[in-house]
Amino acid sequence: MTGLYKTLSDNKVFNHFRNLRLAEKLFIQGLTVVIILIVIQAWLNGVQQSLMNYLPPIGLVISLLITYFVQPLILGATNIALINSLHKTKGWQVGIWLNGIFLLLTFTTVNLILRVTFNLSFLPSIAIIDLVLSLPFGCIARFSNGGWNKPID
Amino acid sequence: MENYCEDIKRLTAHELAMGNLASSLFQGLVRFTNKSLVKNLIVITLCIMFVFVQIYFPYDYYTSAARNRSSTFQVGIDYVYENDNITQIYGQVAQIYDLGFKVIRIDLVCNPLDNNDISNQETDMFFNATGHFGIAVALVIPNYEPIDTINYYLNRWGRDLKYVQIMNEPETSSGWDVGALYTDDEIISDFNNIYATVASYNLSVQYYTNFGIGYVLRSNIPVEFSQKLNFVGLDIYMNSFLVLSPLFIQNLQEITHKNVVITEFGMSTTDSAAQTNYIISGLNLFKSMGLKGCWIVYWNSVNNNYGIRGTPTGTAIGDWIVQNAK
Repeated sequence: MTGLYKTLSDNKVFNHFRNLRLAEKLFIQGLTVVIILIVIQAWLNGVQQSLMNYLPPIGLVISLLITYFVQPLILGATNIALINSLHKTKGWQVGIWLNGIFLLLTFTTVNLILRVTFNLSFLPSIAIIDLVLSLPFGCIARFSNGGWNKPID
Repeated sequence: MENYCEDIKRLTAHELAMGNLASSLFQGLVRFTNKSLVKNLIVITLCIMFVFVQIYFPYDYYTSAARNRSSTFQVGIDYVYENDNITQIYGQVAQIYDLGFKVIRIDLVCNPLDNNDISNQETDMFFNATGHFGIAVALVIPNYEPIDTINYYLNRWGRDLKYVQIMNEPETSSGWDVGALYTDDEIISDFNNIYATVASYNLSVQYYTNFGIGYVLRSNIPVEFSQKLNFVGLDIYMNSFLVLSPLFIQNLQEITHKNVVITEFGMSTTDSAAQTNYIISGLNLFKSMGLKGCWIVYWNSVNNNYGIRGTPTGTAIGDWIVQNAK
């Protein structure tokens, strides 16, 4: 066991997280992913006008790039890092971008249904509901990717 | 008693076997879905499903039942009166009024060089009629209208207007020649010139600009324009864009922070049933979404089949207005 994996394995905080019950691990995973999604969504909403007005159409391209490329990469990488840290696994089964876009689509679909059905705004109503849904979101995040128990190299 | 005990044992054994079967089935399912290939396929399938949900859910939701029943909704119509005989215009406006339309949208038609030109007489006749029936008028100022012509029009008929549309679908128009890109600089400077001209008259009108679906590629234009507008217009043509319209409307509202009115909505077809179905489903959708209004194109056909005058579609829209629009 070498490198970052060994460092994390020796870390007391990570060891504590690993000893939590499955439901607690899933909640932590869901909460982390949902917070990242809410922060990025709120930030994108805030800078949307500025991006649209930035050297058109470069601003639009940047906006699309952040939304559908950078954001999924962040989400996918965070998700697999959480899975490997919390469940003592290595590697990944689903590509990082694909896993990220899946989580993003799940999040935006839930938000769209909430917005259309109940006529809610993203901040604060939908964001609060998303936080409440951390546990089911953690289950989806855990299901959507996984590592390997055996050494992969 | 022995039989009873046997039954209980058999039942317990049966339940146990069923429990084991369910448990092994579940574990088998977990093992199966935990395979990398299967998990990738499931994730990809769910992604595709979510995309479809995002495309179709808003439209299905709003059209599945009548919502926002109590909200006010204004139905308007685009009337190309310059294509009718001057003697027809008054009667046509009366018909439009009888069907329940609250707004008539017109193009800027006048001849500033001759006060008694036929086009000026037609415009006089039109405003006489709308004044008599109390119908609001929305004036479309085209993208390349000379400022002198705008000044003449506003001097003569400006006080009769309720809405002024500054430019028409600027984001998709051509520039100085067919196919030339209408650059952002051109669009914005033309908009500012026209806006300044109209604003100098201090008319009690509401300003708007209408955009086609193409605005998504040049979103900076509605964002820039909206600072001077009271509301923004969105033009919807074709069934595909009707299905997608809730997404576009919501996006346009978000980036402009203004109410959206459907300023052009219609279908060019000789199939009256298809036209009626399309327009009525659109009206139901837009009202359910809580929009302020929808203006239909056109009252009379001009080299196309959009016109609803004297057709079953016109009657159906009239009936819809009676039942739904306040």
